[in-house]
Amino acid sequence: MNNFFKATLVILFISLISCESDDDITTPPLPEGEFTEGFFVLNEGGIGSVSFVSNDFSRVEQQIYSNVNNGDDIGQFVQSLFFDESDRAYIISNGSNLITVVNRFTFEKVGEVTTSLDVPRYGTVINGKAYVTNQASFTTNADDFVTVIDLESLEVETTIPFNTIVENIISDGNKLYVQNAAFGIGSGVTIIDPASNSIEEEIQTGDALQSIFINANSLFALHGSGMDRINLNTQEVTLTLNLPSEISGAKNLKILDGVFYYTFGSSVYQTSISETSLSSEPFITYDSNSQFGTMYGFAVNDGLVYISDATDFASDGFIEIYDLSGNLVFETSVGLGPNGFYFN
Amino acid sequence: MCMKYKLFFSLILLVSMATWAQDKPVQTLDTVYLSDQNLRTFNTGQKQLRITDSVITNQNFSLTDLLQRQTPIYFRQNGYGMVSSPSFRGTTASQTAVLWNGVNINSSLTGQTDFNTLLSANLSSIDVKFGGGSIVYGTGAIGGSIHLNQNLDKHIEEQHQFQTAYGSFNTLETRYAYQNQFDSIKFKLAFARRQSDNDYDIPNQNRQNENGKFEMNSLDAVIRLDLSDDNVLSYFSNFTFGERNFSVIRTSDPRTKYDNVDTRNMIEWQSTSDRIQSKLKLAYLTESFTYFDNLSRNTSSTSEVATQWIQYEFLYSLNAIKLKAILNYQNAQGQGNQLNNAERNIAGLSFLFQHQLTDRLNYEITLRQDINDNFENPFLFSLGSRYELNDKWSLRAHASRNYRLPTFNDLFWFNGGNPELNPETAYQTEVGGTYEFQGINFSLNGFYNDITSMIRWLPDQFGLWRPQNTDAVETYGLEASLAYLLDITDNQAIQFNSNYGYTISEDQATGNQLIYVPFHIANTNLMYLYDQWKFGLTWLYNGSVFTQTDNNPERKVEAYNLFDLNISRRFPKFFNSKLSLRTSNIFDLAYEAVDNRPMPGRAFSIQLLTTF
Repeated sequence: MNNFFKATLVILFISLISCESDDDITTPPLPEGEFTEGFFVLNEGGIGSVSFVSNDFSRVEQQIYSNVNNGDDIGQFVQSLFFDESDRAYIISNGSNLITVVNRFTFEKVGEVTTSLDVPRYGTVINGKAYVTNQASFTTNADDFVTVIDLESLEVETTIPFNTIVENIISDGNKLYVQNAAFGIGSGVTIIDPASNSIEEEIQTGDALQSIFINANSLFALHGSGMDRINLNTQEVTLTLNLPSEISGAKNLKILDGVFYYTFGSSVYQTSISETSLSSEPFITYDSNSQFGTMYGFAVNDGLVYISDATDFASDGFIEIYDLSGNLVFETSVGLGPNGFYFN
Repeated sequence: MCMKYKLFFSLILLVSMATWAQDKPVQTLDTVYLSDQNLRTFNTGQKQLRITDSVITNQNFSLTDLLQRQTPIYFRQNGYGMVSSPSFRGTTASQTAVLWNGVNINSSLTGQTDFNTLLSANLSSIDVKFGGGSIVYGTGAIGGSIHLNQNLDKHIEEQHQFQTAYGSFNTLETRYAYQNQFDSIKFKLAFARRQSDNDYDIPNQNRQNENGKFEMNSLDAVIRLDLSDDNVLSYFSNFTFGERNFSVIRTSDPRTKYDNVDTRNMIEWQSTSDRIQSKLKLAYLTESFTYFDNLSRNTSSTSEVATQWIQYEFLYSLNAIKLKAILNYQNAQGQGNQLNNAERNIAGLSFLFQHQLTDRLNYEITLRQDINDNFENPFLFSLGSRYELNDKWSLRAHASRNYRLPTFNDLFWFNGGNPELNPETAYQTEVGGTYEFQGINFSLNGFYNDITSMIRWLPDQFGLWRPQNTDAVETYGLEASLAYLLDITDNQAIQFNSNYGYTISEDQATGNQLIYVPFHIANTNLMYLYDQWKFGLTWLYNGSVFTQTDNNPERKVEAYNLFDLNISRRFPKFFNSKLSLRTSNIFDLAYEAVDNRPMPGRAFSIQLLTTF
């Protein structure tokens, strides 16, 4: 036992040294903050937290927001994070009706938004304003709305009422697109015109809409029976890709370099954007004991696939990172209920 | 004069024989009528602890506060005055049965009792039974059971009792009780109310507890009609209604509120002859709550359950043998905007056999079989024995199988309820001993529980959270209690009682300790009585608890120590009153009972009790 302990110490020591020497070799001129070279994992909580992993995976830090900001926290059930056009990140807590605003490189708090929010979910930025979806009461969708926040003053400018459920919100730089489906229930995408802050159009999609993503001039809507391709100029569905029934319920659509990525169960799938049918051949499958927490967060970025697992929601979750050939390149445990990746 | 005072003083002493560990069947005095007599007659081999009315009136009206200080039961309190659920011997909240005059009052919806929706003030005694008791008390009596009793003596005199307390955070407690006797009818009516702004400053943090305001009311009646020497008709009634805001962690959190209205009514007829006692109890219970999920938009959901309960008990005593049969039937119907066709019928038949084999040894065998329409019916049993080693030491042993039925939420929740669920079952063994000599009472217990088919809500493949019979848990540990009474002189005495519990509660899949189960828990009450004065010091220790199932040592609620001070003086000539000053958490320690739910620092209150 004692020898084992010693050996462990030696190995630990060597690995520490080797880490340091790595750092010495690769040290680039570091920019403005501690968290410049890496990505964040958002952990939903309980009380939410943020983990940071450096791009070379040598550094994993938990609870960075609390650590930087004297033990303050970012509220309960942290849903998502979005960046603005300069250097700020906005962290949405749906349980505390709170958006915490931080510098994305230092993670120092620069402000917060606490008004006109009621179970806020997702946000995005266009023309210096943030648009945040709110689900309000879970018993009705008639009270859902989008909050428009001026990012200069962090004051709420207006709210846009909805009659349907609102979930993800994304932008192509001109318009905003709101997913009218959550938890696998609902369909349709609502277009908001940011010039008038009003609803411009509602586009129908297939039922059980899971995920939306904009690529070039098209919005792709992955739903229970296929994937609709919507031309954003004409706002018409131009094509519906076939989704094999055995992976009906696929979610987490991402598009990178002409390839669709999506998940079902504990597997990741890919299909070339030129195909008319989505593949049901997994290219990554990972081990998960979690049921609902499987693929709780998913991202594809710069040649790597990021997976998070929320285990039983009462233990630390973990992330796994794969290359595009499906090889595991890194894994680590993170906080409670990891649900998203955000890249600096 | 002197004699009068002595008498009075010895009376105080008598009634303030605080909590006393018991393991032998207490002979029921003819004058004290206890609806739940099984508590006294059929408890061979199990430890029991009684909290008397003098201890109850000495505390505030919070049942959580009282039990935390007098028993080794852990309470997970979601901020002061908020939802409070017990963990007894490392089990979950729904594995502790709560009995009101012998009727199980755990919520049919959640399977548990929120101890902050009950007031202690109108109870005449509380008994705590350690370990399984499903054979008599039905579902949930796995970790143990807590018995709330309202007794009425055979002969009473007219009495008014008025009790009021005012303290920190604008906390006001008021109680009025009236009892009288007209011929063969005796009755006791009582009303108690506890309200608080509960806006305490949080120690070491620059903020207050927000949205924590609550009020709880309890209207109680006990009526006893002695039809003849052998026939007693009794009626028990409780009407509890409360309004609680749930405190927020951050100012921006949605403000929520919980209103509850619960009624409990029971009528019973007891007929006694030489060897036979027969008892028929009919009860009608209702529970309802409305939860406002955001006060700014005033949306709410309501659930209600009405339960009809009937029990017939037949006891036959023959010299050293007692035989009892209990037939129980209950029908519960739930409705609400989040329940689907919730109805359940349960019938249970129990047999109890007790035999005093020799002067020193007795044993007990009990069996129960349920018949109900929803699920598999486990066959339950218990075996218990008690042996008096000598006049100081007694030993006991007990083994049983107990169960907990799935709740209405488990079965009928509109969005995920699983009607296929089976009951949780638990095998249990314990051994213990008690030493009693010259005012000392020391008791030591070791216990082991093997609980299977535990119900846990897990998401299915569609992401829908549904309850499933998945978990297996083993809990084991030790309990020790020590009580000591010392009469120093005629007008001076010391009372001491202390409890300690060591609990391992291990999830069989992971080998980890269950969350919110402390390894160590302890409390001590020390009281010094001098003439009309009473000085009390209470110490409460809660060991640290894990908040994550992976037992991440970084994610714990830290252990805490609380000290309370209580000084009171009686004024016998002034309406037979008692004035008390209480300070809780005298060292103003910052602590949390649940992660991120800070509790109050030092708090004061002053109480006046008058009886005339």
